[in-house]
Parts: sequence; C-alpha cells; structure tokens
Amino acid sequence: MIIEFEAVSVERGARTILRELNISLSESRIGIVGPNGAGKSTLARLINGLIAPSAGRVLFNGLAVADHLIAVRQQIGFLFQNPDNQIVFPVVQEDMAFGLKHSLPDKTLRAARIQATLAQLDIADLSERAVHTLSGGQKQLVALACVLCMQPDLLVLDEPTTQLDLRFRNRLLQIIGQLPQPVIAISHDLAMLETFDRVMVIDQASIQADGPAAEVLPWYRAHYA
Amino acid sequence: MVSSALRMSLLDQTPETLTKGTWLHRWPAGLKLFSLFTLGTALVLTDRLSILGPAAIVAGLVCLSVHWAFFDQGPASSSRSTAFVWPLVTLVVIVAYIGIVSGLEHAMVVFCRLLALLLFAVSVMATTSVTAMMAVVEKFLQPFDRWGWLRADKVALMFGVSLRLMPVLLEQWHEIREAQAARGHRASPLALLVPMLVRTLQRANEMADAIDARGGSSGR
Repeated sequence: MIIEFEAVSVERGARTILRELNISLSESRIGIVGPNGAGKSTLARLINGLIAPSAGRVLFNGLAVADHLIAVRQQIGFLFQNPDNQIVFPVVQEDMAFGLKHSLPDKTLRAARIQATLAQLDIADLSERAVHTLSGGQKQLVALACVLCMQPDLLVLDEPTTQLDLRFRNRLLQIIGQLPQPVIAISHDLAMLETFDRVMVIDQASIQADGPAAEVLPWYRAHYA
Repeated sequence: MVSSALRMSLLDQTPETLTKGTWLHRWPAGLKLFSLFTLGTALVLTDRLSILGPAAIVAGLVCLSVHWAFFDQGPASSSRSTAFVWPLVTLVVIVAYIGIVSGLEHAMVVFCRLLALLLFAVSVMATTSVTAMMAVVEKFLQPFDRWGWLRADKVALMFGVSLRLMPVLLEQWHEIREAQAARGHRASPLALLVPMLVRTLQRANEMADAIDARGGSSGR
C-alpha cells in the first residue's frame, strides 16, 4: 500500500486548511495527531476522495483518487468518529449487507461474509440486534465490522476511541492491533499510537513533525500539552 | 404524531420481531405497501363516517393483532405500550380543535380517518423490514430509472435512510431540549429549531460521506 500526496492544498474560502503537502505513506501503522481544527480529518478524507484537493493530487497505489473514486473507495475502509452517522439501517446485519450490495451480489455469500466478520470481532450475538439498542461501544464495533466485511486493503480511522469507555477502547485497540491491513488512525489518544510505525503532527496547515512514534509523541507532548 | 408512531414501529424492527409470524408478517412487502397506498387514498377521498368509522375499527384490530405479542412481554414492553399514548393524545387534541371550529361531525370524520391511516401505517411498518421496503420502492421506480428521470437505487436509499433517521432525530430533539432546560432556558421554538437544524445538516453531511465511503453509490 502506498499513498502519495503531491503538492496537495485544501482551501475553504480564505482559509487554508492544508498547504502544499508532499508526503508518501507506506508504513503498516500510521498515526496522525494535532490540535482540533488542524486539518487531520481533512487529510484522512483526501485519501478516499471524500474531499477533493484545491490543488495537487492524491495517489493510492498509483491510482489518482479523483479519477478512480469507486475503485479507490472499494479498497479503503473508513471508520468515522460517530458510529450513529455511519450506520444506515436499523438492524446490524441489514447495515452490513448494505455495504456489500454491489461487491457481493450473491445473498448466501453475503450472509456468510457478514457472519464471519461478526465472529472475527466476537460480536456474532449482535447480528440481529436493532442498532438503537446497542451501547456506544457496541455501535463502534458494528461500524468497524461494516467496514471490515468489505475486506478493504487499507483502514482509515477518524478518532475511533473518542466516544468509547475504557473497556471498549481496549477491545477496539486489541482488534486494530491484530488486523492484517495497514491502518491510518487520527487520534488524540496518544497511548493508542505508541506502537505505531510512524506518527505525523499536523498544525497550521502543514506537517510539524513526522517520524517514529517513539520520537514524535514525546515532542508532541512537550509542545502541545 | 405520525413520526412518533412510526418511530415506535421502527424501534420494534429486528429480524426477531419481523419474523414473529403474524398473518401480516407473512404478506409480501410489495402487497403491504400497495394495500396501504390504496387504503390511504380511499380514506382520504371519502367523507362518509359510515365508512371511516368501521375502517378505524378494522385498523385497530389489525394493529392489535400485530402488536399483541409485544404487549404480552411483561415490564420490558411497557415502553412500547406507552408509546401509543402520545400519538393518541395529539390526535385527540387535533380533533378537539376541529370540533370547536367545524363541529362534531367533521371532527369525527377527521378522527376516524387519521386514526385508521395511523394504525394501518404502524402495522405495515412494524411487520416489514426497511430493506424489504427499499427493494419494493426500487422495483417500483425502475421504469422511471430506465427513462432516465431518476435513480431508483438512490431514491430507495433516501427512503430507507429517512426511516432510520426518524428515531435518531427524535432522540436528538430530546437531547437539545434537555440541554436548553439544563441551562435554565424555557423551551422557545427558535432556541430548539436552530441547533436542531444545524445538527441535522451536520449529521446529513457525515452520513452522506459514510454512504459514499462504503460504496453506496454504484458508480453511475
């Protein structure tokens, strides 16, 4: 997996959110930190084309994201901060089936994939539950299951632990740690990023620090605490 | 009134409740929606109390037969039972107002019509999964899709998301009302509507992103 940002800028009116980013991402675990409003979520959304850059281009495995939106989105799973906004259908298995509608038209195969994914996350018992009866932590696990059942090549997580209690946070981190796919995680949860291969600090529309977690996180704590 | 009744029926929707096995559960989704549409049209077109009265009674019996299992589940089902109260109270208030303005007979016509429509709709919603309803809508709109007038899959998705959002938005409304009350504000419509609108638009934006990210658009 390789993601390249070539002179990418994002502007909203007079405000510059990201300025001329030139980065290449290929590590297995990449963390993005920074103050609120620094452009972290914008950077994540550029990867799967939810936001188009004002200038420059983003490449995913050599494909220009803007020109191959469908193909790129099939390869990238995106987990949002609020699972309530990500889960579209009232029942867990119906929601998971929605994401697979186009990529797996066979209903039997689709049902098998859904059950296998739920079992992988140890939430098979939630399969037939109504979404509104789930706790916040369970909803986040279901949202992750919805993403994983599409078998993406890359996972992008936008502040996945923000709304979770300690038990579900630890469970989610354990699951993420075991995933074979590369992961890009935006988070204020610095402990989560300590084992990551690479961490970037974004502030003032550009990258302020970039390197191994062991080097960048102490620098971030010292400058932004 | 309608949204809270629909919320009630949607909240009951799980594969477990949807396969409870009442006679209405076994009807195909298309037949149920077609019957609801036909009945709704007929009830709106007639003003005769001799038709609307029995229609409301039949609707009540249908609804009762569908929801009987829920009432028979002990304390856990009490919230479902009380969920009927507010729609009915609202209906009675509307009818009382019409009675004062236009007379008792007109009020009874409106009461029976709304009650029948409400109960038929609740019965259909409680026994049909959103996915099944979406499939019917998509199939029904296919000809328009072929003529290039609209995208059947997107309209069906819009329909499904609207149904899913009803309970979510109601919860959001309660949250905003509680937040205002906690700050000592009396419930003014503007103080409730502005944050409601802003949060709904933000939610819609993020939901659209989530649907796109999951390949909700088939690429056309």
